[in-house]
Amino acid sequence: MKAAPIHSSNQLIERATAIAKEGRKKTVAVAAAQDADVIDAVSQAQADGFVDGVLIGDAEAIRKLSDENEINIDRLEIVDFKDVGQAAHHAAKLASEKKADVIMKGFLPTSTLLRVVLDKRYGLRRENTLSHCAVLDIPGYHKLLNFTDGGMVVRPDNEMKFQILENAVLVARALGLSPVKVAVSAAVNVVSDKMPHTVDDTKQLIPRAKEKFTDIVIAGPMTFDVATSKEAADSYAVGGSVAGDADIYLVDSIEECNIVAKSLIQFADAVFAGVIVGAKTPVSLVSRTDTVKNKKASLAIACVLSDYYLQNDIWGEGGK
Amino acid sequence: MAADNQMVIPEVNSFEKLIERARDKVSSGRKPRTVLVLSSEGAMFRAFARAADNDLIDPIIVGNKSVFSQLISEGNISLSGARIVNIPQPEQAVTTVAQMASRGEIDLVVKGGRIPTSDFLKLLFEKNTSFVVKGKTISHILALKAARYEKLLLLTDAGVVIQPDLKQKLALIQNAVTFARRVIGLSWPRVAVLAAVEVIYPQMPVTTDAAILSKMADRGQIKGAFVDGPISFDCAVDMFAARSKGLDKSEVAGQADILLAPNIETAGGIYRAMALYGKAQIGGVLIGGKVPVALGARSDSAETKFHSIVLGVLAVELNETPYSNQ
Repeated sequence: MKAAPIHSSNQLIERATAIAKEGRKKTVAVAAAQDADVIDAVSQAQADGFVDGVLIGDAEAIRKLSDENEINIDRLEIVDFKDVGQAAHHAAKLASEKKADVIMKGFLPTSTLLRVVLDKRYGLRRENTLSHCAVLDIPGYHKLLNFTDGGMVVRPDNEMKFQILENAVLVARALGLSPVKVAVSAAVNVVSDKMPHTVDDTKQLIPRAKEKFTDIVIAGPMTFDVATSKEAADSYAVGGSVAGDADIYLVDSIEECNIVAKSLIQFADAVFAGVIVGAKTPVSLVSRTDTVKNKKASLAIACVLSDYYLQNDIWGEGGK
Repeated sequence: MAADNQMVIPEVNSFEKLIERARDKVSSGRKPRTVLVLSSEGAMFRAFARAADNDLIDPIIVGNKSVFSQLISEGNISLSGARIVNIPQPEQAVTTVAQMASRGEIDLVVKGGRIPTSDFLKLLFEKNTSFVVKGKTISHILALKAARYEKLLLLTDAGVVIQPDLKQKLALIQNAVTFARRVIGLSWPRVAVLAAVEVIYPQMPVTTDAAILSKMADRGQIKGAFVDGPISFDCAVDMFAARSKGLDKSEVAGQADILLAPNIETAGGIYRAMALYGKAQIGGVLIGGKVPVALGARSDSAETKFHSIVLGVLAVELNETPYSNQ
């Protein structure tokens, strides 16, 4: 049976739990787990029943932090690696041996973790671009909105931007969305020579996406308000089925994506689920400032995505 | 001055206070002669009439008289005292307004919605209108009061400068600092140079520009303000986030008054996101030209349009006493 589309962070966590109940509970390997907030998130997600966890890192520090912060780690496995690089390698090894479904970043730089995940010996990636999806549940908006890429690709060229879109479409499919509605971001709702990306998006990215994907509707250039509000769309006389109803907001720069998404988290109480997409194993990143809900949502989306990959053999011989 | 990480709340921290300030200013001087140009929306006429009713402006309407007369009568809007200049042709209407500004016949322009902002600015900035003042940068400033932040935030630039280089960023900061000090009354505004991260990566020019601007402020090349960056949005406005990233010593982190966005997409994105989902009160104004221009987005509410006019009324001061970029 096809699962119902996911339109909120609660539904996301429910779906991850349902997958576990169907006998496909995911295991998260935490690289350098000596971080109280990360341990807390995994412990809570484990208690919720949607994930099992392996805490890889400085075992002594992990136990001490858990004691100090009264976090229950009785049902989590601990593997002792004091060196953060070695801990990352062990997480990647578990993923490559299919003993872990999701990798989560602990107390180590993102770049260190990703270098290991991308290491050829683990076979976790192809040649494609890795990108970050910030899936936001914004109070007042009727569905989830995937902001991408505000975390990985510093200056995407046209090819990379297309691959960022491909990754985001994978996430949308994992969320059960069809058709997937993609709005291509801009500061204006018209093509402008002064904003070269509006020209490239219109001439290259949008036609190419229409040709490649049969299950998406894509439109742009589109401002944020037009993408998420029918009223705003009307005031700019922007028609079509994407305006006011976007699932993906494909942004042109890492700054725009990161800063606008954070403004929504900070001032509009948006719940945020973040995941790195493009490798065989989803990588979950949470930051210290995330709320518990954000952290659980981030783990949940990685689990849902991993399950989608497995059920549909996305990274098998057929390719994605 | 050492940062003690206690947010300093300035006296003017809401639009109510800004409106009060505008009233005080107008009651002790002359009402700014304010032109509404090319409007075809009831909401804009209502905002304009509200400003006139509140004795904040001396109203003038420029555009196609038959279009706006009908709107005004249909909307039961009282604009009886307004001077009317009938110029049916839109381009000519904007050019006329720019010329009126250069001749010193008006103090403030309010942009209506019948023309896209980029076309409007192009006409306004045309050489023969002398709207552009030599040596001065024209920039857009948005004032934003989010329910979740105790202060007014000024955000720049969501309207004019598309992809500012370092020199333009410097001018944008200086315009915003002048605005914060003279219009809002902040004594020493705190400027956050926004980026996706808090550290400097040579491959991310946004972060290297931010570092240079911070150092320029340290060395007194930007006066009258604290400047810090690169800084992420959450660290700029949230003390907890700032501390968790080790920014305890920053004079700006967690308590920014001014946000410099790296490009127009980012500034516009924050603007529209906050207007829709941040329960924010917003107003926008263009400064640095012959006269200020109240300028927002077409999708703005009537409230936002009114706030933009209030900001414009306050900004008139910048042109009464000539100011330099420094």
